[in-house]
Amino acid sequence: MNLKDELRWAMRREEPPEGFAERVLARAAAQADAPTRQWWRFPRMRLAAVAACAVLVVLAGAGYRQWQGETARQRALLALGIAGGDLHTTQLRVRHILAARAGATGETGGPMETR
Amino acid sequence: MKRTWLAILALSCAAVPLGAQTCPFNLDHIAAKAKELVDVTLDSATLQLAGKFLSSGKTNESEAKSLLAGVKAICVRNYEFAKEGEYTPDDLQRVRNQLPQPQWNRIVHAQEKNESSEVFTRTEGGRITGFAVIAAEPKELHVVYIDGAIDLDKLSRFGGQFGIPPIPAPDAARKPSK
Repeated sequence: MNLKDELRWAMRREEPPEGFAERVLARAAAQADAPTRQWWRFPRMRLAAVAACAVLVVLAGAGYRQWQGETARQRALLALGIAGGDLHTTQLRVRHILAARAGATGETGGPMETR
Repeated sequence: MKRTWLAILALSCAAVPLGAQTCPFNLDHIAAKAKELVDVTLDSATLQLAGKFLSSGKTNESEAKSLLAGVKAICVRNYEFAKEGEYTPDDLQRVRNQLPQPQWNRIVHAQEKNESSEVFTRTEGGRITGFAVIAAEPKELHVVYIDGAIDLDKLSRFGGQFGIPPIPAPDAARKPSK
């Protein structure tokens, strides 16, 4: 048998066994009629899903709270830094004026109100 | 099930503090002329929250925590102007007028050339219960308001940590470091 004959034999038309089409159609119909078993129909799965959602909500709330606290902390430090800086600069200005005045008159000290 | 979700929703809402802000100044007339603005406003709830997040282990944060202990609100406004003379002395006077005189007293007024600093305090029963600074420069205006008891020495020292050198002795202070 040469290659050509072997190919012809291998690719020959072969009829399905008796009743093959009927069996396939019957099995497909049986599967379509079977009740579906979605996950949410199981009480434990439903409970697990609710619990997961609750955990997510709590975690998101805690994360948001943490973010708010960190923001508040940074803003408080900034506000105190600016307020303290302005007060500090005012003190420097007063001291500078007093020092200049003392240098001019040969005195030290003086009132805080200076203009 | 509905009740569970309602309870979760109520708990998450309770975790969010109210964002009410308190600043007694109306500085719209200044803001309208400013090129840049820094606005930091902290109400009582935010300050309490900040206090919880300030670490007692870090020096500057523990100082901040002790400073904030008696503070009810902080309001900081820094305005920067494109050119000199954008705000007038009248504008500045309108800011001062918002601190009512019987309660508020100007304890310091330092003026050098075009720059001035004024410190106001509100005192009740011998304790400082309010503090305000109005610092004016040709192209900048700083307004700070703190409601509540605060230690001014500590606050100044705290401000000195932010890049400003310590206050030199009067005879050594020939030039203001700005």
